[in-house]
Amino acid sequence: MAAAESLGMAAAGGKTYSFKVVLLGEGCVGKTSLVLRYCENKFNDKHITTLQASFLTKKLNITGKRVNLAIWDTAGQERFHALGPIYYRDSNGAILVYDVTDEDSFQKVKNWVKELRKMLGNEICLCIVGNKIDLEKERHVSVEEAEGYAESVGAKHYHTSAKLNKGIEELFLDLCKRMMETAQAEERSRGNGASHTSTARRGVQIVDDEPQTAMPAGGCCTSG
Amino acid sequence: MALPKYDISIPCFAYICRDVLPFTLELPEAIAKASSHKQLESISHMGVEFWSSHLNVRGPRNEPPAPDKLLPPSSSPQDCLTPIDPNPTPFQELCRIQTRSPCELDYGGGKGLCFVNPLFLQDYPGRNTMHRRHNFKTSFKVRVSTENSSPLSPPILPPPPPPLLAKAKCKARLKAAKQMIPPIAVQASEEAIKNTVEEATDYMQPCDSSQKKAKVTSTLSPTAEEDDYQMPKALQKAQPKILEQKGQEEDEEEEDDEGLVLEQRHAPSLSELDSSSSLSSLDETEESPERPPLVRGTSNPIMPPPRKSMSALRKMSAAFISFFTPEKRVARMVEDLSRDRRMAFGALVQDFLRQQREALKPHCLTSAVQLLQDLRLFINQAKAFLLECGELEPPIETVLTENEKDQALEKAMFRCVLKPLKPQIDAALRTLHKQDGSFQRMVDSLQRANGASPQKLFGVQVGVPDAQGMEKIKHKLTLMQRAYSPIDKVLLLLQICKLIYKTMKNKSGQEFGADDFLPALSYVMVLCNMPEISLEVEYMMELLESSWLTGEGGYYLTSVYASLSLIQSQPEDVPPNGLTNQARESLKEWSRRRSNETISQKDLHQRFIKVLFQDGDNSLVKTLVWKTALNGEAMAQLCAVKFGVDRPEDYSLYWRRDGVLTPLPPNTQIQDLQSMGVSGVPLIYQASSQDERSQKLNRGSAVDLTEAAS
Repeated sequence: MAAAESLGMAAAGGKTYSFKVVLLGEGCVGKTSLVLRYCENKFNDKHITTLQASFLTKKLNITGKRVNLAIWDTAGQERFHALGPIYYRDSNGAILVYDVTDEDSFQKVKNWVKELRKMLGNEICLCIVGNKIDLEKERHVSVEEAEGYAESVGAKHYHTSAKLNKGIEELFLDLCKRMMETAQAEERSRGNGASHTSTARRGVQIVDDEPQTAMPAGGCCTSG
Repeated sequence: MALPKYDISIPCFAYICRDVLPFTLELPEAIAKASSHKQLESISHMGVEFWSSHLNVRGPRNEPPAPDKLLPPSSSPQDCLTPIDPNPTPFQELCRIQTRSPCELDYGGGKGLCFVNPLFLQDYPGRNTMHRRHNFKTSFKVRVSTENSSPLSPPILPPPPPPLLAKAKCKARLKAAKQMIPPIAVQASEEAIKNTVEEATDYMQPCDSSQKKAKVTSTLSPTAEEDDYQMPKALQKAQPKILEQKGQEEDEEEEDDEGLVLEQRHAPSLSELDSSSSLSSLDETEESPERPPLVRGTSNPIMPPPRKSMSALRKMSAAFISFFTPEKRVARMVEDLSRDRRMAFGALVQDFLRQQREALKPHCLTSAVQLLQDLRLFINQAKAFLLECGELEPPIETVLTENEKDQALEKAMFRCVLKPLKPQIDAALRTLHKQDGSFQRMVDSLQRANGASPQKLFGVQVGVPDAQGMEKIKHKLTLMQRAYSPIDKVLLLLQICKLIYKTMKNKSGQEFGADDFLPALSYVMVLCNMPEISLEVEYMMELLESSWLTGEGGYYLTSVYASLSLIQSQPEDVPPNGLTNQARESLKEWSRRRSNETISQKDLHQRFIKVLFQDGDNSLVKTLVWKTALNGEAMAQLCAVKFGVDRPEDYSLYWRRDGVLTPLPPNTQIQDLQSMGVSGVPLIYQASSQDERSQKLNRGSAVDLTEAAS
């Protein structure tokens, strides 16, 4: 009965995917502007014009499949670092933002990547995003280094400018496609009966309970 | 109805509507002919099962309808009214209903009554009947009893499909209605029923014309349109026309008045939340605590209230209900059902409540999580049972769309499970958290943070609420503690977040992300200095359905959880280098549990089933849990215990296959029951030797029924 219900929900136009995407990155790298720009631009979503920007949703139609995105912003300051797992549990994707003019913010991204891989394994789709490319002149993180690192950890790298609205649409579209692929693969591996995979929540796999000491910056480049 | 002589009540579901009730109500033969108190008692114990049991034989009546006595097809419904009997029987007096004699209407092959809920029949002075019919059509309830679909006596017509198959059911009802309602009425209600069929189709194929869709909205629910899940904007490419319209509707709907916001299916977004909106579980104080039940009487075997006032109360209740939103109406229906021990669902809920009241006593407590989990599990199972048992009257499908259903049932279940237990649950949670020291830790952490200049502690860079704002927030937190519904609690939480955003906004005017919000929230939490918040957060995290936890409500609930973790892990000015181990541990467990639950919710590993126990003159229905691990044999053993039989080896479980009593194979699993089509009907537990006799009895009644139909 329950299966029939969930099938019924999606029956009209194929499948509906619901994805949770967590937004990580140091304060001031422009996470919020990035996601505001994305959600604001396309549908002129009412939410934006009023109050909140910490939690945003977006509905998409990608190759005939419906996608509901829920974007969870996190606080990037060091003092809130330890709260990460509370936010990113059950995420399908993570967007890790750094400021191309701020080397330190890139190192922070590396910390996040290591932690995410440890907690969520390879199921989560990672996007590493160098924001503020409008400030190209002041770039402190080289394109090669960033892209090389992303590849080494199985993440994709993007360049964006929230200010100029560059690269953002591509970033999210690409992420959605990857999350859909992951979900489909998971479905196949579970057999066809799992019609509710898209909404099924994945638990945090905490494989290691060692206390989260602050990682020395740059000490984890080759992890993953 | 009740038999004054014996103080035994039997459920009877007639609405009071002399306009349509086409049938002289009379006592079922088995009751009329009962000669001993014992016999009556055993009938009474059967509750609603009586109607479908072999005892309720619908043999030929005293005056079998002669064909020439039937009304000509052209007669109008008004003509059918039987003049009031000058010498009313006590029963007629009791029911105060003008009825038609069976000979006038009983030409539908022995099928029962046509019930029309009077609250859908509004009177418009100056308009003719057809007008009224038309109005009726747009908000009707037609229910045809299907006594001959009894699982215990072989049906003449195929039994109606399970309640979930709304469309097919409507058709079956249409057919049944056609056969029994006088022609003009048939026309009108046929249209009405067709309407349902169409509407039912609408739910399944949301791409139908928007005109139809609009009709559904107006008749069924003011919030039907908000189901944009079926037709998201993202479909625009595929179906541009419909979606344009849909998009507009959506826009309009978002600007809807905020009073409706709290009735919505999903948590409203912060922008939609009006901080002064009332919450369903809080405005209860305005309602009379002694609200009359909807339809069914008081619970067995207590003496029913004086008859006259009862019928007045029912009318009153019905009139109130008609003003409710469909969701609230469902909540009321479910609540009333849950209080009626004679119904399987009522017995299930009442047994659970009784058991919980024991389990919630201080010396029985184990852990807060366990306690809340048990509640959540029961809510899931009871919800599934309610949908399967078909006791909800009218069926939920006629009141709500498929998509509103779950939310409405969820709220209804909170109402009938959490509301009565609220004081005990609160006390138990407080006790447990005091015992394990976590409450004290929270108190200490809040105090410490308060002493350490919280604004600096969390690096708050934005505007924070002033004293007045803090009072408002504290007030909301107090309301949150008073609410029993986790949904209401999370809505209040969203209102609090909105207040915080407002003060942030006052000072600058930009939009804020978590970088600014989380510090402000933590600051507010410290200033509120209410350690009980952690209990509230736990309550919501454990009892909210997973779909709520992934939306906006889930995000802000997570944020509060995060800020409380932060407050607890904050050793003075030292930056936290990790969550406390305990927090990590509990988070890990919670996450695993809730994700498992999502899976198990779809595939419940146990079901409630009804078992009819027949032993000589005694019969008794109980609702039992059938766990996946158990087979038919184990279930029979369970029955032996539950029904207290001395020689379990002499008894077996049976089910009805095509009206024939069939032993349940010992290796039957709960899944098999469903594929056998048994999930909705009770199993029978009786002495193995009784088997033959009972079969014979049923064959006999089958003959009777066939004769009656011919």
